[in-house]
Amino acid sequence: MINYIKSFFPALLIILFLSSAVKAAPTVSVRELYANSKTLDGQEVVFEGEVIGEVIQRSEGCWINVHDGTEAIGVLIRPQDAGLIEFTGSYTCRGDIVRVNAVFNRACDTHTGSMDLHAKDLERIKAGRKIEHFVSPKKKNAAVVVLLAALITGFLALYRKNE
Amino acid sequence: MLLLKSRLHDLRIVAYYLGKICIVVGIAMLIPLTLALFLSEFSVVYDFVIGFSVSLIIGYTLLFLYRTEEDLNWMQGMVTVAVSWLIAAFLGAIPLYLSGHFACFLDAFFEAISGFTTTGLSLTQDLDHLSYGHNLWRHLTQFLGGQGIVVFAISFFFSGASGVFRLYVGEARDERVLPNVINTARFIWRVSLSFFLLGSLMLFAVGIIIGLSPGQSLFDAVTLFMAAFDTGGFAPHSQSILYYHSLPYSMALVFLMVLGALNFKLHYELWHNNRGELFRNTEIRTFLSSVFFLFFFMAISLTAGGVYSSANGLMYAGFFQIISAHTGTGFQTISSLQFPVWGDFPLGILIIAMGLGGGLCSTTGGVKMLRVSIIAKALSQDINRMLLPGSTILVKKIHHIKDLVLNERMIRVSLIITFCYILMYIVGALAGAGLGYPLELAFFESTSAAANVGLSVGITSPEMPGLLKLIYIIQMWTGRLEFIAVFILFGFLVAFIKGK
Repeated sequence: MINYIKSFFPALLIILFLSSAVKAAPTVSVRELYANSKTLDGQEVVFEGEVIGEVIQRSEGCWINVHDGTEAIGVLIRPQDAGLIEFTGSYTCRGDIVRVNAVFNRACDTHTGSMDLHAKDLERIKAGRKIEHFVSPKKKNAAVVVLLAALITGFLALYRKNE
Repeated sequence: MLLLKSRLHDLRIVAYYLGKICIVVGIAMLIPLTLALFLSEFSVVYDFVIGFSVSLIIGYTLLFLYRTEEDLNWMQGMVTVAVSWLIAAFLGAIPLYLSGHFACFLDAFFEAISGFTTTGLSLTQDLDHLSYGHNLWRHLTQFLGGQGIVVFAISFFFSGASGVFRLYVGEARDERVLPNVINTARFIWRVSLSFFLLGSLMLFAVGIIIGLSPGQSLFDAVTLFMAAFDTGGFAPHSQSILYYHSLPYSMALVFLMVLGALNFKLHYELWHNNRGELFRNTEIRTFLSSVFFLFFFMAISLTAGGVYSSANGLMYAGFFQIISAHTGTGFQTISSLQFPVWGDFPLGILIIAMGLGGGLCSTTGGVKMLRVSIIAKALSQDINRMLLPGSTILVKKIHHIKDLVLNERMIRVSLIITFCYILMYIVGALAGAGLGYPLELAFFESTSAAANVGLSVGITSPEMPGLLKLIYIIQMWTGRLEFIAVFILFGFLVAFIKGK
């Protein structure tokens, strides 16, 4: 039994190591995709970022644009995955942060011929939120003061014109 | 020897007309302000209230202090135009800076002048979270600048003094569509607003078909129409046109970009059903020939280099970028990061397309087709002259609305302007290279700025050196005004300082 466990233990370690390696598969950035576009073409990659704009529904699936903090790239996802997305980045919202396992296409022949990702699966790793925009009292006061000043100079200019 | 003589009196007249321009810019801010109110973007409303008020304060103060009934002479007209664009950009930058999406006021000023000159190079940070109000203002600066800020002011706020013609010419409008310059300015606006309605409607419809929501489709249609027809190049999304992942949408924009690159004189002929002009006009012929040859070489290069293997890719990226560059628009269907991957030859082709530009008296920048055509004809005339007997009298004509006999003055003016543009492209490139960027990329970006295009290989960013931002600002401003007004402004200032 002990021998059996001894022989099984290294295998178990290897399996654990591999599974943790898969789980923590390094994500690529858009810059890395562009820089290594030839070698990564057709490969499966993991990509993370904020969903920006809106989900664009098409016959071939749904297009989302995902921003990794420096650049954005188009990702084609399955319609059922689109349901996982609640917030998309705009003036009023911080978009959901998603992780996609996707096939990278350097020049996608099935679509526009441009660079894109075809997602195999999508996971929402952080929910987006509404953004509250507050107006600082300084800005409010400045606006009132300059508006009054504009009205006064306007009246003065009109007075001079009619003089 | 300086021929210009400037006095304090000239400055007072210039200041009075600048006051009018300030008020016009301020009034234009009411449009994004209204949208912001409608969408409950209250923080944005305050930004535009401040921008509007400051414009009015400066404008009315100048009108109050320097009230005059005197008409502008040539020098004053040119100086007014040159300074107008800087002041408009300064005022236009105020709400942009207050948005919090710019690292410093210089960046906001860069954005505003890029908008007014219809360049399209952008320093906006986090564009995808910018408000609708600010985004509309960015695009509106292109719509106003495309028609010409002064033309806009002439159309709606100036009376029929002869000085307005000097302002019109100063704004790089070489041709009058109609005998009266105010009627010309109003015609330009009539055409632009008519196309605005039709073009926005077309983009809205295509947007809905490709899956955009009605609200997004409408906003994008309006903003992208302004950027396409005025060959500006700003887009409401950070990925530019790549955001839409749609060939039909990009082809609809190609149509609008080409429409915007047409000479307004040609628009006038088409407006009056003279469709034959479309086939005879030398600018159209030169433009089509140039697009054909450049795309031909681009397609060969991209295919041979293994960048694209499908017709889709060549059309969506190659053809679109040629049109975007040639019309001086600057929309991108590929990322800035991807241009260097294309290789030097396709970049060279795009530099040529950007440098050549579109139609004279249009919203495009660069050398422009009529000048290219004149220089090409002059060259062929000289070659023919060498081949034929000395006694032969050669007469070369070009057809632009009517048949024009090529003369020395036309050739000289075309060559001087072309020389100035090429020099400016080179100087900007050397400056970029001197500041540490690869020469070929610096040349691309410099040509893009000076020809008011807006395509970028990634040099233009908030992190680029302040000196390079200033150089691009000067290039955009000088390129839009086609040198003359800027040269006269510098002459005026030197003469003023020397007390002549």
